[in-house]
Order: sequence, then C-alpha cells, then structure tokens
Amino acid sequence: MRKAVILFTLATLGGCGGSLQKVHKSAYIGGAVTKSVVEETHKLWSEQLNGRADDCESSSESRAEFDECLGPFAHNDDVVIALAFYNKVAELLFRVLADPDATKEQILDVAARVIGAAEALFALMPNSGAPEKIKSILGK
Amino acid sequence: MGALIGELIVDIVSGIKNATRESIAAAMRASADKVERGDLVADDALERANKDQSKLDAIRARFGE
Repeated sequence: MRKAVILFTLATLGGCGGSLQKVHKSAYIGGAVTKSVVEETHKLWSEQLNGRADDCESSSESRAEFDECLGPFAHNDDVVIALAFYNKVAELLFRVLADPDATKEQILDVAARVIGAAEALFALMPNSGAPEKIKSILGK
Repeated sequence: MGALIGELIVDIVSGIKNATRESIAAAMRASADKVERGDLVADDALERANKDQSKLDAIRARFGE
C-alpha cells in the first residue's frame, strides 16, 4: 500500500516540479483524486463495519464479546480521528491553493502532508481496496 | 477545469478502469483558475465515520459495562 501511495505521489506531484502554475495544477489534481479515493475507500469500510456490527450485536452477549467480534472495526474511533486530521490538512491545501501569494514550496509541502494523512488513513482500513484504486488511476 | 475534475471523479466513483494516467494529464493541462473546497475535503466521509461511531457506541451502551 505504501508503495502505491508513493507512486501516486510521484505521478501527481514529483513529475511536475516546474513552474508555480504547474505545481499549482498538479497539487490541485492530486488533492482532488486523493480525496475521491479517500471517500470511496471509507464508503467500503463503512459498509463492512455496519454489516459486521449488525451480525455481532445479535451474536454477542457482552460488550467485550461485541468488541472482539468486531475485530478491526472496533477501532473505528481511530478512523474518525484520522479522517478529521486528513480533512484539516486538505482544508490547508485548499487555503494555500486559493492564496495568490503562496509559493511553490508551500504548495508542495502541504500537498505532501495531504498524501501522508491519506496514507495514515488507508493503513487503518485494511482490505478497503485503496491500492487497487490508485493503481487503476495510474493505469497499472 | 471543473468539468474535467468532475469527469475524473465520476470515473473513479463508478469504478471505471479508464481513469488512466492520460485522463489525469488531460485534467492537469486544463486551467485550475478556481479551487473548490469540496474537491479537496472529504466532508461526507467524516460525517459517515461519526455516524458509524455513534452506532457502535449505542450498541456498546446497550450491553452496559
């Protein structure tokens, strides 16, 4: 997964390290595509979580049993925090891209932070298909 | 720019395999005159995640300590 995200980063940001305008465009596209993958990945996670929660509720007799049955979905609170953090950084990217005085270095720095936040989020949602989606975007 | 971004996102959302390097490059060639907050921030996912967490908390509360 990490390799796929790094590939994605290079394809969207590293390959266009030219003028400020080019960096601005590629950071915007990279941010928009990353957001789309985050949304789709989380949608799948949420569907799986809700299905598991319903099954576990009926088969469990205590809170501990319920949490054990949930498996990785028991830690959805971490996903909430990671998503909130991702959105804060994405908001920062929006602000820097909308700022006419922002430098190329500032844009690249925030764009890299967005990718890092997305990577941390994907790591919390195993089997959510993020690497496959990224590969399909890259045509690999 | 907006139309190209929208087209690209629709491709991804519907799981179409055609969102390739070429379509990204085409979008990059377009002008990014206006940056849209909604293109970058995953508000819907956070709202869904909070709703999921509320559901888990409610079930846990029914079980008690």
